[in-house]
Amino acid sequence: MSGMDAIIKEFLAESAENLDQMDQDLVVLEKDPANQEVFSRIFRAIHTIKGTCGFLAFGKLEAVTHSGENLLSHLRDGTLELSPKVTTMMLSMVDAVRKLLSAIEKTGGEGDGDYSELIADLERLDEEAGEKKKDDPKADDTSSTMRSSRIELVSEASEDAKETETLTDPKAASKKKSPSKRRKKKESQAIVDAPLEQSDGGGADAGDIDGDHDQEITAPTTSSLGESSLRVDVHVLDHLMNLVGELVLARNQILRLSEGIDDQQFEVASTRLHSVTTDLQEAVMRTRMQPISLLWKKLPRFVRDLSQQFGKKVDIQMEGQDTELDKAVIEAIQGSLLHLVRNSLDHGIETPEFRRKNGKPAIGILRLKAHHEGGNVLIEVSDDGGGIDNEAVLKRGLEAGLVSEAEAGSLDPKQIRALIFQPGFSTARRVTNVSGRGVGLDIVRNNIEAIGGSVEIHSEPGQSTSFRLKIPLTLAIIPVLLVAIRGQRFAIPQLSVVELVRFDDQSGGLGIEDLNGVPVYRLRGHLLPLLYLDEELGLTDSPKPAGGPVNIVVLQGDDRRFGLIVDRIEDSQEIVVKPLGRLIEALPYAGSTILGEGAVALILDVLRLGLKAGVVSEARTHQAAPDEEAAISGGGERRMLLYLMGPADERMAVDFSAVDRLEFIPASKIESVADLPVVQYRDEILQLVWVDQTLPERRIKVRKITDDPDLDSLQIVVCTVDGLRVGLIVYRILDIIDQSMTVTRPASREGIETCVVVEERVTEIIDLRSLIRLSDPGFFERGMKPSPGGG
Amino acid sequence: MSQYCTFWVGELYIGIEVSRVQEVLSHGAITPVPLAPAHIKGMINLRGHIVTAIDMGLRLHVGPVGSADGTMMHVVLKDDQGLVSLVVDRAGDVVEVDREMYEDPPDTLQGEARRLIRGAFKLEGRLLLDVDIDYAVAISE
Repeated sequence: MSGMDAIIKEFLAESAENLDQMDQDLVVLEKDPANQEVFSRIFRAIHTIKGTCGFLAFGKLEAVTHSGENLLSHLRDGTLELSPKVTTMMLSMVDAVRKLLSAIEKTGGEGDGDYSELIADLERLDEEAGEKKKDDPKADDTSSTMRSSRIELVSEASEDAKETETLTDPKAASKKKSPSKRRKKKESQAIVDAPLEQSDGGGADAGDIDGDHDQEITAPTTSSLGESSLRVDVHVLDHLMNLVGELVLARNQILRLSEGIDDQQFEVASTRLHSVTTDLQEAVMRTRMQPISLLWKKLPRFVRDLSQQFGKKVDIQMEGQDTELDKAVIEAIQGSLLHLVRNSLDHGIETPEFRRKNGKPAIGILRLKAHHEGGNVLIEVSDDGGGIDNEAVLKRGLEAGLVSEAEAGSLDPKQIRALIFQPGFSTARRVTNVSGRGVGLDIVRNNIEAIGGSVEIHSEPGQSTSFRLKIPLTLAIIPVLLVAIRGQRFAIPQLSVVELVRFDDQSGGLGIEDLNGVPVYRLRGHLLPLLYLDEELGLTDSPKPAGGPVNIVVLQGDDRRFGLIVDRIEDSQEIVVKPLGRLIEALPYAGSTILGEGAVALILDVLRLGLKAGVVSEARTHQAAPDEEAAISGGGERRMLLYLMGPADERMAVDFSAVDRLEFIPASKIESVADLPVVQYRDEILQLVWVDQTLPERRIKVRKITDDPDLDSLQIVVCTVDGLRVGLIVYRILDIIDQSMTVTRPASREGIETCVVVEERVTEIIDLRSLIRLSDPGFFERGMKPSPGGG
Repeated sequence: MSQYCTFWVGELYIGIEVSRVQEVLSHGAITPVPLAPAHIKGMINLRGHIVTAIDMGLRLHVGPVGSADGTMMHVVLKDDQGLVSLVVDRAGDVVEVDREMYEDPPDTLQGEARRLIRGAFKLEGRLLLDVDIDYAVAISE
């Protein structure tokens, strides 16, 4: 590559970034015309492009940017108001520049586009402003002079930068400039590929030869990240990463060798090598991460253009701009994200008139959110528009032949909504040039699924629509907990880890208990279902380490907690998530990683593990399928229930959140205080409630539990209600279930909150307060608090 | 004439076009993948890349590799989906073969073997099997 080519390439890359920034800045400036910082940045950007293309002899480009710059200088002098018209004009100027640049990139020339009309338009505005200037002496007042003097400095700096970039020998360019200053200026225009250190850049340079200058110049850009960074080719980073990988292996060999050598100096040196290598590895891995704002910053301009086109008013809100993703992932989702935004603006948000008529604010809100969750990045694109009209969707699905009449009747809301992801679907009443051509959402879904993610829609008709993208963190760095089971190490994303519990099973404590075949552990009064990691992974062949304490990793899987029993908890580390190798996608792993010493470790997918084992709600077989569907699509509340059987084989349930413990006590231990049954329980007197005897009689006459000769120990469910502890005497505990509350019937009798269908059985959910009152009307008033030591 | 990289899996002598092979390594640390199909031997770290290793012995139904003397080799292939390693008993030379030496398998070869073995080169003294490697690495049983 010749020197000139390199300069042009650099110019193109830099200008593209400047233009992106300008798009964003112009939209900001339109809302906040007094924002000097943003204004200076726009001015500087356009000036830089103009200056450089003049040098590179791109005449057309120079002409376009020149008229743009003129317009800007009138804005600066206050002779021109920044109206939407002017902003639009400036944006079309940016587009023209972009077009020219892409022509230069492809052909090396400026192409045959004709920009004279645009230039004429720009000049017309310019002349209007110029005339105004003559009439308006105010333009020369102090404030505007000050303002312009600052911008002069800025443009001077840009000139310098241009100069130093275009000359091969920086010293020849300007001997009096210190190298650090030259570097600084150049950097101030580069964009972040590799965020290094920030913030102290401006201050450190203030003491430079012409420090005052510098500070003035750099101050407006301190917030733009631009300054302490430089551009690096991604391939260089990839290469660097592989080299570091090799270095790690070499270091490991050295460390192994050092064990056999009794030389302290050598040991010190190899330890140092070890720590430096580790840090280096981490640092290099981080360089590939970029904040999602890199992608989002294009959106304000995009939204402005589209909302004008559709005659809509839209405000864009963003949350979680700093969420970091691997560069490759950002690139992969870019198109899909733009499509969803476009979709929201076109189909979601209604026109201002329509919104006002329906009692909504005229300005629609488009909200973008991003955050890390359980080894994934969740990106949400939501709007407060019309929502998805299921009937319209179904109708369109029928028209497009995506479903048959026969099928249509049996579709549930979730299945109907899934139709919009079908190829060939479009509900738009009219086909716009932006969206509604029947391609789009299906492609979005394909693209997201291709990188291992998923798309979900949530919609409330008339209120909102939100698309939730779940993107795997391929290559992202996440903190994990390393655990060992049967000699193999696994990583668990820290985000899923709630706490670690360790106890000695031999010490005579309660330890792991069996609840109808399900191992549980009592964690601060709540039952935690447990999974043995070795069993879940089918690792039972290799020998189990003998004895030792029990280690439980308490995990959060969706809305449910469960404990994972492992042999050993090693340590917590930050790791780089790598894709799983091929052929092993369907297993409960979220990815793989290379640990410090070069070994490969699998990252457990906590949710999938819980689903597989049935401790996380969606996979539970207890629920009738339609309930589950409704619950997932947001239709029903879910509750954890302790599922009980009565003496006449009837089904009842207690809200599990109130349950502290499950105990057995012999019937002989029950004493009577003022005609109320109580039992001495853990240094306190626990009042008891006979569930079956307390509930009002139903038509079926039930046997009383105490009549049953087989029962020498009673099953007690210890609950806390309004801070008071009470024991329910129940016939039998069947299970702990997660139940959707969609299919309910009103209570059949007093003491019952509601009825639901669980496993095709009508189940009464006990209303604890009312049940206790039935048994002992004064219970809550007396406030028989459990003694503090009773826990 | 084309060049084939050869290796042994049990008694089978197998060849792959040289252009498909990225490198041949001696066997190192391998991380097993619990719950994966049996022929997925595990994952290896190849200079920062995680590569799935396939036990070609199990894949070709001749018993796990390394059963003779415990030694194994990795033949690492590169395709548009990335890297994959074939774990074999021992690596052979690169041989030159001629289309004329090629013959389709006899009709008596049936079932999965028929899908895997596309044909054979009749070398002097032994047969070099032409295995459909794409099929072998794409199908997870």
